[in-house]
Amino acid sequence: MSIYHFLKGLFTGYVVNFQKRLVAFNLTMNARKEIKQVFKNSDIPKLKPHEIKEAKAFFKSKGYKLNNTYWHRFYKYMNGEFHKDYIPLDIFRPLIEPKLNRKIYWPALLDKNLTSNLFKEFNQPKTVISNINGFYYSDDKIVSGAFAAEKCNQQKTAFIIKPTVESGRGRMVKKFTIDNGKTSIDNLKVIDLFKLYKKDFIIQKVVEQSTQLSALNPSTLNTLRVVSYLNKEGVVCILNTYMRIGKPGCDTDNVSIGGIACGVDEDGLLQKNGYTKKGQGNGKGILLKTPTGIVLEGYQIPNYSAVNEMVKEMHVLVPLFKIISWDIGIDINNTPILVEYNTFYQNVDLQMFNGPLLRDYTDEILALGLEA
Amino acid sequence: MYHFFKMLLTKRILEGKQKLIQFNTKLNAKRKIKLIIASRNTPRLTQEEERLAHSFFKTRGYKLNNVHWHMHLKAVSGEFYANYIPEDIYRPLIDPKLNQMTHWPALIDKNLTYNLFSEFNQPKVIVHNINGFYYVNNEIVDEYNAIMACLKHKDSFIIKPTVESGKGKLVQKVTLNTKNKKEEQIRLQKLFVVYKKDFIVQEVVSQSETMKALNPSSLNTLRVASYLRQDGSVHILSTVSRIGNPNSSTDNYSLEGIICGIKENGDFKDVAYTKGKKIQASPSGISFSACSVPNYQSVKKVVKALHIKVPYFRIISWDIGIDIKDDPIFIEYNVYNQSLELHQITNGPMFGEFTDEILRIGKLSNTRQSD
Repeated sequence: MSIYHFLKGLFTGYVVNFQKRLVAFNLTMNARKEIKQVFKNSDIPKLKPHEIKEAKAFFKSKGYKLNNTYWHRFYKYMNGEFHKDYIPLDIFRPLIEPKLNRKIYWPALLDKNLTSNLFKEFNQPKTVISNINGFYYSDDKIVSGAFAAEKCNQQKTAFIIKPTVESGRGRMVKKFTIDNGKTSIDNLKVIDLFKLYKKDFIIQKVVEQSTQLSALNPSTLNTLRVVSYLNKEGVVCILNTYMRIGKPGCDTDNVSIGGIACGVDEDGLLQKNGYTKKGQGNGKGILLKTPTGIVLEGYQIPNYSAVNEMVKEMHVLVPLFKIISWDIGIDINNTPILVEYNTFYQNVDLQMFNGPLLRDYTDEILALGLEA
Repeated sequence: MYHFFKMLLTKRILEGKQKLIQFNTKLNAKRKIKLIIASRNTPRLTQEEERLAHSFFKTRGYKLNNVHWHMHLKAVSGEFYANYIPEDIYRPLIDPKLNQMTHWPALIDKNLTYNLFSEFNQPKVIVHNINGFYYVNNEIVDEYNAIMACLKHKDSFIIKPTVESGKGKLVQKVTLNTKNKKEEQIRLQKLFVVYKKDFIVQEVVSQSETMKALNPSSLNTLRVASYLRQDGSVHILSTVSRIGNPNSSTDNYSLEGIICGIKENGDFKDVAYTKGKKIQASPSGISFSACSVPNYQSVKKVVKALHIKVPYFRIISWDIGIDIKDDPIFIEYNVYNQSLELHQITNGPMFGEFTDEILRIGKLSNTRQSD
């Protein structure tokens, strides 16, 4: 046996283990960096000593060490409520998410070119052109770039173009129209727009959204972020839902670019407070109305029960991920429409509008996070 | 401080990791061939042959560090070609440029291929186990109901892991004793424990009479290598028939199965190979020169249609059976760690007319992988 293979046999276990720890450490540090940014130049009051004690005791009793209470402090500041079982991001991302969701299937199963096939019996935006690994597809057939561009030119509609992998926070998601062969994105020709995205992107028709949701902000597809959990009995439970409402003039509804997030209750009614970037609204970033003047509290999401049903049916198709954040729109017929789903690097800040993330499944999920 | 060092070192660490993976792949391939050569006392090439092989790769921008693969392939097939592709060049340098690692092994998962290739003929599924969840008729059931679904099925079935069952690892044919249900229930329970999770239970394929005649105990499949070119056309590089050993339920060459090259028109080549020997007839006595793959043109058509569904991978090795109606039936596909050996022993240099094109792709930088 060569020296290399001998050493490899000796060290592979240690190296793989070390890599896992490094990844977990990196996720922890990134999460802390994010929260510390929030605290910078902010006057967020500290928790009371008994609250800190409660939070630490709670996690200790579940087998976790709570190194800090940043997230508890932040969420209490935003919504006025302290809950010991808020799940901090620096516990969720490095410890829980990897135990619930199988990383070898990520990002492959999230590829938007694939999800149209994976969830083919569900309502999804109509694909005009896909680019998969540099190959253009139209109606499931490989076509040339020129054909793909011409197909877009011929359609009198608004389009969305987006990368099919890792378009988190609306990165590179752009709405455009075509006039005389030129797109509304920097006046680029369609073929030049394709070159900007290089490969692995999708062009879809803009979804005509429900009138009730369009009223919240007409320029964006205002989506629901639904967090579901597939428990060990194979039952899908909806943990948490919130509504995202885009900023006027923007293409996407992401809060990071000025959108509003608002909790949704079990009956599909919006809660009182909408949350946006700091400095807006009441200074903390809390709004009671949308920029279009609609009062958030009690606003009904149309056909809300169908949203939950759809999520439950979809989740069983991808049991490789036990906790998923789904982005669901509602179309002009008030039918839920799948936009995308997220399995890694999910955000837990919805806790500031909806309370603790894991709810009735807190103990079960925290226990899973500790399994070997 | 952590983020400062991270910014400084991340790129270097990732580059180092890629080089280590490449190095590891290369050494694994070298180890494999050294073991083969040592065990068979493989004769050396002539000086002229060595010179030709080195020169061929040098002119394409590659350094041929050894001629072990050329030696082995010549020793088995009796033929020398300068453009045999050594696996210690293919696996570390060419494979990663042609096949997207981010989509592997996810897209190879046999549970997923039922969805991915839903419109293609595939073995009928009795039970899926996906991440520990049992599925019968696309609905989640408990273990008891999964076992009952298997017991209801009176014939034998195949059980296999859905990821990495390469070389027939853990692929088992199970025949039930339907008279003693209670005992069989316990037996299945224990079997499921062995497989843990991520496995599939399928009906045994009733195979074509022609293929069955070669060896009745195994599903004798075709290993078809296809290449997706930049212009979107799919080409069949090589087809090899794999025939199982009598009493084996799988047809793997590594388990003393037989391989025989298939010509363009579907005829078997006159000579087949099994662990170090050339043979002219199957274990059941059928002469290969008299054999032909039934409905071979459909096999090629199906492979071309399958390949455009997964353009993430530009070189794929497909395992295709022929069922009782002589229709092609998709078994599985292979992307990473594909064996070039079967193809090159039986059919000569793997890439054929696309050799230069593919070798050129292997030299492209990671950011520019279009030819």
